[in-house]
Amino acid sequence: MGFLFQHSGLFYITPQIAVMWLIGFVLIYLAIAKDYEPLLLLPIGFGIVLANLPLTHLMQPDEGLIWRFYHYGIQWEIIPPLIFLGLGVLTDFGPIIARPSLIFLGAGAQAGVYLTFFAAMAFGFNLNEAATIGIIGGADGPTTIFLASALAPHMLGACAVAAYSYMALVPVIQPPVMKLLTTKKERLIKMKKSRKVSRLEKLLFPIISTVVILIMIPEAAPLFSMLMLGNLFKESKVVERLASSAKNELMNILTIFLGISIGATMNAEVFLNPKVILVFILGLVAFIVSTGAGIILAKVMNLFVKDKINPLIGAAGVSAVPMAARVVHKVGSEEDKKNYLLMFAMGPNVAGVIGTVIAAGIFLTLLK
Amino acid sequence: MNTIHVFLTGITGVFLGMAVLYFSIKITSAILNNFFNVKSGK
Repeated sequence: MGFLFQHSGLFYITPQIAVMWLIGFVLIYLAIAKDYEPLLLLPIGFGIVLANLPLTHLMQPDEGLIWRFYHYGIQWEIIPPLIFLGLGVLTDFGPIIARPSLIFLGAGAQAGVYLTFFAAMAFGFNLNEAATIGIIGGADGPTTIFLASALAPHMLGACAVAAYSYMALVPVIQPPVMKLLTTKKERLIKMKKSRKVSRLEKLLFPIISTVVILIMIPEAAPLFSMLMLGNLFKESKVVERLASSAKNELMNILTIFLGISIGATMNAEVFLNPKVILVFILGLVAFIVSTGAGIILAKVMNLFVKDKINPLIGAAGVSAVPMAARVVHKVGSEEDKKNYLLMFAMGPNVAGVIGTVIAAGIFLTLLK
Repeated sequence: MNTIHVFLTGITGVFLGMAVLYFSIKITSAILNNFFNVKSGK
């Protein structure tokens, strides 16, 4: 009995470990009680607790169970692209095919990524770390994880939790920025109905965009190709079983491995570091700037286009699909209940996913 | 590789990538409409 007691983890518990448990419990609480991104925050929170249980060796290289999930799933860059396969099935690119100019709002929202990259450098982060922090502004979890695992693996946990937390907080973070940067008159703009998109156009889009984007930015291939393959599954309508598996079972299984692996990277030594607090602050700044940049670009575009754009939809240029588009619709309908902005906002929203993948691909090209 | 280089290349690259995508959609739609008689919405 004494032997068992001596070899238990009890004597290895430190105040730092207790703090990490607390962080894990808070995430589990937010997931269960507040419904904040529960699919990710729940396994992440539990992963944090597991990773900080002394002597369990769950993250021991070549030995630990969760280390294997992390190594083969994330370090081998398998899970984020496969999640994009499912996202591709769930995404309708119709709104940007119908009105291609909305694509640029997805690009504008990436300004936050690069401005925060600049700010992170000023705070003493190196190039790879700054790029990883900046990409949080794209509000795309799998892309953030993909880039962090390639450029700054030690920051993976903090960046992933920041990205998913801010995505969950889109309805809280974005509306004040949207109201601050638009006038009531602008929020009341009713957009002209988009044209219908033919099935052939929807079929060709994933094929053509894959070729042109990956010729330009080959480093974006793992994420972009899977996104478009998933979309081709959906639009082809001949592989319903594959499409259904990709968006349901596969995504659910991957989400379990992803969440628990990310949580388990957050041990006390790595996470309890003043730089992590900066990561969260800069990540929030990135998110706010991205929201603002999308709105401002929409206002600039209005100077040149005949059919006016409601600048609120620029805020949906951050990825966070479809939450950001829903928030745009909600803010717009507060001014005019008959102004249906959801479908228009989906354009910049899906363009934002593409924009963030391109931004990550460029970072990888320059820094890997 | 310095900060300014990454910043400028990055932001230019994103807009360039999106511009390529924009023109790809425009050209595809134009070809379908004019040469293959596939009208939008059909």
